[in-house]
Amino acid sequence: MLTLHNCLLLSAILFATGVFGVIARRNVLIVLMSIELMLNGVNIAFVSFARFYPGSSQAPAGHVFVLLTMAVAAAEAAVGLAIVIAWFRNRKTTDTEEMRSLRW
Amino acid sequence: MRDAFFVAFSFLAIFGGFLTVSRRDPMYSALSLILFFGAISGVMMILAAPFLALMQLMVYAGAILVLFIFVIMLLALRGEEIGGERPWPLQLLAGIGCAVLFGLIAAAMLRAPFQALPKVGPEFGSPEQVGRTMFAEFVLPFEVVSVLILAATMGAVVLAKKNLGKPEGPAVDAPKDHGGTH
Repeated sequence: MLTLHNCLLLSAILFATGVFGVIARRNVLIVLMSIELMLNGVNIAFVSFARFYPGSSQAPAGHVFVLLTMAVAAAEAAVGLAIVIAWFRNRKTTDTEEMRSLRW
Repeated sequence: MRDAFFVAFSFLAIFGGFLTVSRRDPMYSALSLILFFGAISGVMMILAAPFLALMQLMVYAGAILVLFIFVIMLLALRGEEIGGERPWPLQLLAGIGCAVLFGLIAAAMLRAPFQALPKVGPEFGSPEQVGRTMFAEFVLPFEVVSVLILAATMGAVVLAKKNLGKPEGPAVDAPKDHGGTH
């Protein structure tokens, strides 16, 4: 059923799935993909609020926010993957447990 | 009809998301992500956001995913390079934690008052209307995002360069020596 609550539940499920991927997985590529999952879950929340509260002017401000989120996600993916490439060139691993040169 | 499509796309999205976080090989995760992005695009289409649905396909499935697949194929991970998995008690704990997080978010979100599906005009969510909103009310964020993208582009180029963090020296001179011998 297309109700606001169902859309928000879908968004929450996707966000929680992404959080699980970030916490439970050790491969840095999959962690980056899980971050994309979380961003998409939030986008669904934006779009559903824009659909269910269009306002009197019907100007879709939520859609603009989603576009900005997409731009940020693209920038984040580019920089993150560049870091992964640089790391892999030096250490030959994509395991986050090995990435401790900033920890100790 | 619309409800059926919404349910179908929602389950496809959830299924794709679970596949993405559960596959061991990053390549399979990236391919599951295609299913996820496609389903999200369908949900956006149902939520009267046709422009965003197309942007979703172009930016996520078209650009970000290709970038991921390029990097995965470039690295050509084998065996131990993929890295280990966390022990299953920790994964179970993470799953429980995420279920609690989902419960908290859902409890907060379900406090939103019930809202009947309002009528929107056929123009709602069209490129023209989104563009008008963006350039009338959100010009400053739009410009700031352009600065962000410029910074990200330069950062990605600098980070992915060879010899990051190594002193300038033999690795840089090597091609010159090689050229000199000819």
